[in-house]
Amino acid sequence: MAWFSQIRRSLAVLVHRDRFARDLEEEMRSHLELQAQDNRKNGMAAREAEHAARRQFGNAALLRELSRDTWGWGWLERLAQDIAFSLRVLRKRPGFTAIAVIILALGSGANTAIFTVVNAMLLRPLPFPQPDRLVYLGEANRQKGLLLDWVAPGNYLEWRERTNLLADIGVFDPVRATLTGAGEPVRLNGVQASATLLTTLGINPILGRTFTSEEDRPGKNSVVMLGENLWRGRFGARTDILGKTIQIASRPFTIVGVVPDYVRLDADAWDLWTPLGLGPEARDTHTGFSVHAIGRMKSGVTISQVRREMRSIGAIIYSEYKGLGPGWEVETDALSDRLMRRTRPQLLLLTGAVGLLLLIACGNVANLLWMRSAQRNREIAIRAALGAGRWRIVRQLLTESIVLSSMAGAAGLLIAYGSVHLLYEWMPESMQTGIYPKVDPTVLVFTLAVSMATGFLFGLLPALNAGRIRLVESLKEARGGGSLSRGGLAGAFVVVQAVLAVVLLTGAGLLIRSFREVLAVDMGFQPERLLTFQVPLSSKYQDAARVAFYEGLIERVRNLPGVRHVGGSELLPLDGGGANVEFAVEGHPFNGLGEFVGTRIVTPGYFQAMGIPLLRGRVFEAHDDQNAAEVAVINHTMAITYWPGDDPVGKRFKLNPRYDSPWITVVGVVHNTKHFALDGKNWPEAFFPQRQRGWPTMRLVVRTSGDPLGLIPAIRTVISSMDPNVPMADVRTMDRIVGDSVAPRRLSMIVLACFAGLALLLASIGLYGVLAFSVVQRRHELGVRMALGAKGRDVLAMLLRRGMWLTLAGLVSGMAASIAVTRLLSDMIFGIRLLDPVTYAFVSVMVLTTAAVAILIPARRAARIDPMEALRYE
Amino acid sequence: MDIPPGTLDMLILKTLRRFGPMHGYGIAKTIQQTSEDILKVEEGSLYPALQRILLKGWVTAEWVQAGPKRRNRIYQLTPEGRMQLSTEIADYRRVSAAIERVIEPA
Repeated sequence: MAWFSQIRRSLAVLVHRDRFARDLEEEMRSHLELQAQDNRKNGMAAREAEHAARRQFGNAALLRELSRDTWGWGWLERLAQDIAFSLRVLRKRPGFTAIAVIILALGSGANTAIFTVVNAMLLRPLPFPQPDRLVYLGEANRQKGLLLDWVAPGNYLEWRERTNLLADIGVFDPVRATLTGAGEPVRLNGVQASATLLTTLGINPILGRTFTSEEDRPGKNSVVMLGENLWRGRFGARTDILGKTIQIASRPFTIVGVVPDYVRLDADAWDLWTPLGLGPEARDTHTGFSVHAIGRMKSGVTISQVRREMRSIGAIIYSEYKGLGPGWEVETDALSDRLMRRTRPQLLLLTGAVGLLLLIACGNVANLLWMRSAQRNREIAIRAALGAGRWRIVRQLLTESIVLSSMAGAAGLLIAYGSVHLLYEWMPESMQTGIYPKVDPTVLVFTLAVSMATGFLFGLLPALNAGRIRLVESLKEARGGGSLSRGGLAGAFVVVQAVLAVVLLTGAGLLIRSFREVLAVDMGFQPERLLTFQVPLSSKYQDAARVAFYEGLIERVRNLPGVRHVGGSELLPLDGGGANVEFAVEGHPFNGLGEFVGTRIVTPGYFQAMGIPLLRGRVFEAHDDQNAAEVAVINHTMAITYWPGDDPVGKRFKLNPRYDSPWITVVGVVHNTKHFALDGKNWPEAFFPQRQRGWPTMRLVVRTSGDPLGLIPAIRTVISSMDPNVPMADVRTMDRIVGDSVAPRRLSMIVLACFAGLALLLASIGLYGVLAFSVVQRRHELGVRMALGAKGRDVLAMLLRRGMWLTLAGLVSGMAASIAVTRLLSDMIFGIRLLDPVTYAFVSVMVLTTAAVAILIPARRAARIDPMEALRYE
Repeated sequence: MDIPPGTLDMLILKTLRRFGPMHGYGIAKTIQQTSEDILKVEEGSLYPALQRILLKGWVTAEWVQAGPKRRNRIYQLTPEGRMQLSTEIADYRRVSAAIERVIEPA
């Protein structure tokens, strides 16, 4: 380990540098003394003896340097010198330093903040053991354009038996559950999970145990694991809760363990984990997609192997159970990819945008340095004259810019530290993963690397140019005169900045326009002054009692002052979720091709309360009950898809046609409502009366005449007067639900718009700076021109021309770049073309106006130059 | 005559091997005397070489009090230094033999 002890010795030198220097000094001195002593012994006079000793010794200063060089730390000492000198230079020009640091800190802070989020959400591994072995399984039908997150329990059981490459597969179904018993009933996020899910993920409970496969059977599944949050909050983190019983929806469950909070497959952590308890009938369920599935790959297996295996297993199963029709496939994705599917494109977009912003900031600072290097010409020339090599000067200037960018990096870190939680809070719940972004060592390394890189980026060109200095001319010039080539490169910087700003502006413009288009979509109902809330009933209420409770509640709420209409539905538009059920139309032979319709159970007043227009026939009435024939109201899409050119009212269809199910008569057709998303497509939907198909959990929609939120206390009183154990859960206005549904879009739009605005500002500051500087540089020339008869107007026009040329060059190339780059946005564009003329026109106007302001300020100053004064100034 | 480049390390190591631990001044004088004043070390140039050798771990240095106001820094060869010396001598012999063959009159 010779190299090792050598490194150790080198480090010892570094640490005890002073002692080593002193030792060397003393040793050399003692050498000289010994020599002088000997010389005196040989008969020389004292002074002569010393001189001779020195002569014999050589250049002590140089030798000292040479000795220190052998320690191998000379570069470090020179670096320290360079840095100290840079700090001195920067301190001497506080204005310049402050502006450069602020500009760079904005860019660096925005980058660090976005990276912190990206790091937490995209880069960090999932909190499970060997997370890269986890896969997400889904079922897809490309022919129908379906990509389901859900799988059928029967398929899951088959996969599990047939796979050789997956160690195990687990399934789960997130549910909302009401915890009753002690105190106010609360509505919590829960999950029903197979016992295999816990082993597949590798969950270690922080207390107690996970449930066993014996407990994962129907009838035995009355055990529960608590989420850490619930345990700490409601149960005070007591360890003696194991074995205690709690009531979930009025059923007793025994607590067996506590699951740590970081275990999340959803935005929210689950508070209640209960066994799924699939019964034997699940084996035959091959069409009801009702659970999510996660598998764990065996060691050494790749995801593409699993993908192939699951495809071929799927092919066998789908052909054995023809029910689904052709085109179905098993979809295998890495779990981390799947969980981030919605968030990733948004975050990547922001990362790209913020990167462009940083480039613009770099351009600005490069320009500043560039212009300043004109003023430093003399200083640099003197240094060169005193023997500094070109590389030495370049290194010094580069050190200066890196010191600058490091200061900005530190400031940016503070900005990021302060703003990252705002960014996270801003994110819609659907994007939050529960992993809170933090400034951690990875982020620090990132910021450091970015600072170094930006320092190089903006410092290199100016430094190289300064290093190429022509000594004589520079020293002869009276004071930092203007070389003409300088203007050319500064102009190029301005053009590049403009290009980047135009790209960001176009991107933001396209998103803003799309957002307006999305909001302008006909959602099919009136969201204003509409209060919605969930009224979950426990299993105490069955069939008729359940229907009676909801009808009683609706009646009482309707009688409250300020209420205009009340209705109830199992699901609300834009809130997602819901079952898609296979159905067959009477008169069309059922060919097993699997037509699906979204089913919604509603009360008669629902359509009126929501403001959904009736197109044909009638809505439900009180007599559509258990004694009457089954009826349905369908939406427009279902009507034109399955009864094209015909009146569907009076026609019949049946759900689950494989089984002996009754015919259902269509009594009415209503306007389409957007169910999944405003920018989603219309899907066939069928509504069924609550009286014919009871449902445990209804959502009430209340159309009010005044502020909908003002009615909350009155409604709460009504509910608890009917049953104090029934909660009023998930209270939201319909406006809010609409807002939530477009929140991811709004987020990327707002952030991109902010970045684009900042970019435009920085680019115009750059333009302003270049022109203002050229006015100062050309003061003399302008003075001469005016003395020879040029008018202020001519000077103004000249500068305006130059500025506008630069702007136009940037604008045109920026648009060309935008056409290429905005292609990446095509998934987020809605209702407009990618080459939206409005956006491009708007961007042009904006850029030209801003540029005009940035040009006119220095140009007007130039026009006011007094030729006498300008010439005397020489 | 100046010392051929690259051989100063070898001369220092050899001197320490032959005459035992001594200080920098002593090394310079010894090289001059044993070479019968043919090899002139520019005395100061000894010190960068000594620093280098010290860092490589071929010698160790120790301050020894030498009178009321002066200390001497005494260098001593280490086992690694011994090994280095024999390699350097072997290398030097090979090179000078080769040179000898080239310039030997035919």
